[in-house]
Amino acid sequence: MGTSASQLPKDLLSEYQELTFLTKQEILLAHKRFTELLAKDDRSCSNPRLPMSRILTLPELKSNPFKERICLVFSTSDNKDGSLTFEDFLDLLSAFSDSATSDIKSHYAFRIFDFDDDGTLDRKDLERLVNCLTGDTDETRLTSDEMKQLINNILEESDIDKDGTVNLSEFQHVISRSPDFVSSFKIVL
Amino acid sequence: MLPLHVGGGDWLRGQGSWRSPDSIPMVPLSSQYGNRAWQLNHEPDNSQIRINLPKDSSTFRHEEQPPGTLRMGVTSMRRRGTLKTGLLPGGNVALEKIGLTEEDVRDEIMSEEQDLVKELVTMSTRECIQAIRDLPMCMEDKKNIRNQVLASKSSKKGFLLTCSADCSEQISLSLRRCGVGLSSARQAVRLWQGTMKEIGGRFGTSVLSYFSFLKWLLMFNTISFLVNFGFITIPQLVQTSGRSPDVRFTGLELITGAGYFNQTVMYYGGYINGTKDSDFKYNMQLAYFFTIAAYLVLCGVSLIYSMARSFRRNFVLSDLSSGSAWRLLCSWDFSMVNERAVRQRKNNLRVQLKESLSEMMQTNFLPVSERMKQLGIHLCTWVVSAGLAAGSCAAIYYLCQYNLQQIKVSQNPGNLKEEASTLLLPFVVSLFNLVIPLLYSLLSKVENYSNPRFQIYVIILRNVFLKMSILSILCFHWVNNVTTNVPMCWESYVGQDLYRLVIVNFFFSIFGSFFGEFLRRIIGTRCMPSIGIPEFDIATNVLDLIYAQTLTWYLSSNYASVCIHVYLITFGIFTIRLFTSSHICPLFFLFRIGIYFSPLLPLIQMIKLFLLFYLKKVSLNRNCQPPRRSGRAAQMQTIYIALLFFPSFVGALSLVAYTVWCLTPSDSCGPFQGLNTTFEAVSLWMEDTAIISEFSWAVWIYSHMIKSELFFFLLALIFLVLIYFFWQITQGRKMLIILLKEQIINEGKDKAFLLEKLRTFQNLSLVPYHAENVHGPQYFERTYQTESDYSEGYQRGACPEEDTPPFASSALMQAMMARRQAEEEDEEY
Repeated sequence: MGTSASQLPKDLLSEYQELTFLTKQEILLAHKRFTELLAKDDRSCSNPRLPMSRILTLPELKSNPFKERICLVFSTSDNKDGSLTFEDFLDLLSAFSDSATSDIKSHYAFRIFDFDDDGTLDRKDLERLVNCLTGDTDETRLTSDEMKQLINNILEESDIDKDGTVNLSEFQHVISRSPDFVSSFKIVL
Repeated sequence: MLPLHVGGGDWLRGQGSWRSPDSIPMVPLSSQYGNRAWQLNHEPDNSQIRINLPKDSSTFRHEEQPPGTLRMGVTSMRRRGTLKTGLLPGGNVALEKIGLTEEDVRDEIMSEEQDLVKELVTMSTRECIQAIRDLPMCMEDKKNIRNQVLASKSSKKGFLLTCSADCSEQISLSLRRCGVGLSSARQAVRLWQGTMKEIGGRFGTSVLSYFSFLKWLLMFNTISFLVNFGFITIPQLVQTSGRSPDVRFTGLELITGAGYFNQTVMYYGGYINGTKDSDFKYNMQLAYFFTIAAYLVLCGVSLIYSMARSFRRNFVLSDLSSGSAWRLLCSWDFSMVNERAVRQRKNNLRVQLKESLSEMMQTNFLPVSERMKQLGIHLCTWVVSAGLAAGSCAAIYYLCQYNLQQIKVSQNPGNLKEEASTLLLPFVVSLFNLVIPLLYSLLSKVENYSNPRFQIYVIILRNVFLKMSILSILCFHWVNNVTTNVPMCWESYVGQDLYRLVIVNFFFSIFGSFFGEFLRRIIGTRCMPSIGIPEFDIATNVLDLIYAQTLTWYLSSNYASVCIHVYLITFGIFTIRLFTSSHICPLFFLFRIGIYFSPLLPLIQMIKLFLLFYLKKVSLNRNCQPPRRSGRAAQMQTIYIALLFFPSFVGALSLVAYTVWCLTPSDSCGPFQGLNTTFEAVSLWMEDTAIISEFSWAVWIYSHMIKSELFFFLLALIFLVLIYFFWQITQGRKMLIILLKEQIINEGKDKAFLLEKLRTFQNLSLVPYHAENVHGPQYFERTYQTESDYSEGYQRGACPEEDTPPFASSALMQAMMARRQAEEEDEEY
């Protein structure tokens, strides 16, 4: 990356093709959309970084309930602000693409759902997940009884080693049993 | 295995009552730890991190590793990322408090990376690329690994560079580039890509599955059209290029399919077995026969393949019974873009979650009278639906008889009015197919099914039953009555009938979506707002598509008996062979006659599907809302393919088999004139080839294997035995899964117990650190329950209010502490 023109050099393009699940057209389209979002003066610097606020203006992410988590997970910035370089953006699209394996998708889904980034899904994470998916306002939330019951059901179903949390292996096991997951965990530009 | 090397004696191994240390599943710990600490690597001075491991850590790592775990390198690296950023903010502080430094963590990571690179180097280039692509790391890390692998590969190759190795590298590189280029090209010409993305964004993946199914059928028909056109129609066109039909073309033929089309290549009657005056002899009989046979074999094989694959993925591996909570949560559709749709989806999800909770809490304590009443209602609705189907069948049969009477009576075949009156039958059939499913859905509203999925299955079953019975009656009529009573070419007559059915069906689909969706929307929003905007009824629409495809298959196949035999035998239905050979009317006229009667029908089907796509899209956008119940799209897909295959395809196959084996082709038209049965063409051909001695093996195969019943009986027996065998294996594996689950639970308990032992041991020996190790005990709070607490299950999860790092990371830190301690003790000696 780092050409002044909005063209990707061929060797970089083939490298990205090898390292991600995206095809050439998808990479070029991603490059186009990425440079469109960059501020004018950023375009000439060597490894520009898009702030999270600009990424969230993408129509594909705008209404997604997990948009901030997605940016945070794929970001490689040191101060955890969710900003993405072009390579991070490609990683994002690759994980959400059609041809990504179920392993990769479940791995990243786990990290997205892990709101406190501690490596397991405990009760708090699950609660936040449910709230994210059902709406967070007062009239749309589940009651606390219902929430407790729901989380108990979830843990009963997926916590195999019975330690009260869902770790990555258990999550991947549950995902392998839902065949709809792979087709719905998709974002295409 | 993480080296749990604790100095000061083998206190661990000394515990006689415990299992051996090898059974402790420490691998997940190292992997999670590995990735989290890997994050530390993203310092600005990346270049300064060198590959220098502390000597002693590497030695005992490798001797602790059991021999078969070379794959563990890749798996462990692949499982990273769970604690990616967890260690960093609070982690640094925590590490220091325990006395570990970043260096230790970094070294640990470097050594894991080394293992990974070593493993990648041993793989071939293609596998290597695949493996690197599968790593869940960020791009920079992947590039790093890839560069290391390439560097080490090239250094290795420097010694072994030979011409052939280089050439093969180049060849595989160019092949890979070709493959990549092909897939990009394929994506560029993908039909309707933008539209489908838009539909998926607004309505979700289950509605999208209908449109993907439509696209799949279109592609299917395109291939079949090309095959038929290439092998059958073109030679015929070449042969008859001089002739021109002697009937004028009026516009009505587009609908009735008779008249002008009667003598063209559209129907069976237009094909003759003549030869041109030149030397090139084209045996039209065999071409007709085998082309359509090959086409149907292709259909069958591809259907079986996709059905089996889909079934395995969506039914066997998925959890049918429970799992509603997770399934609902994981089915969130990330491709939905529309704000309103997202909000609606959230509402629906909430409603579904509440419903599933209330279902689980409510027990089935219905009183007996309630249950009897439910049963009574179910029975009534089934009787009514069966009655409706029977009534429609009877009506159609009488109409068919009336039509035949008309033909016998009429003397002037070219009369326009009479040809238009032949449209009555298809009109009535399509009307029934449109109206009665609506009645069925009304009926299902009266019933009260506890499980909504079950309700969908019942509706589908009733619809399929209705369509099957109508088509069966039609087939019966064609095979029994038409062949004997029609004065002209009966195959062309059947072809025309089917053509009319297809065209009128198409018009009715247009009207159906108009009335079904548009009017319902008007009624729902203006007149009776309680009904609301209609949902896109996926099931009914897909069934319509399958029905249309059935008709096409009905119209266009002529199946070589060879293929029929092998095909049917594979499913143990060898009895058909017996039936057909003894001229007994086959019992199942299930759908799908086939391309036998009109080879060009796939073209019409293609045009129809193309138009239907746009029609449905417009109707969807204007009239419908996203479906209320999410999920289960993948399973429904399997069911649709299974429906396409089982009644539809197999039925058509059986009917074509009967046609080919038993029925006499008409004497005045078609390529099989003069033969007793169509299959006789193959017999005659075999007799001809018997003269040529080089092909005696083919003749032998034909006479001893294909014509003998014993062969197929034995084949069927072998397949049954194999099926039984595989079933037993499946049962055994199910038991194995149960046992393994129990073992996981036990291992988890072991792990927790051992960690507690470790903690108590460390607390005893690390007294000087204890004062600073303020966070220490808090980390382990949740694990300090005794074994009896495990039965309480999940209440433990609610205990700690403060933000404590989880169980796993504390275990890792404990283990690292222990190791560091051991190293220090070793240095002291």
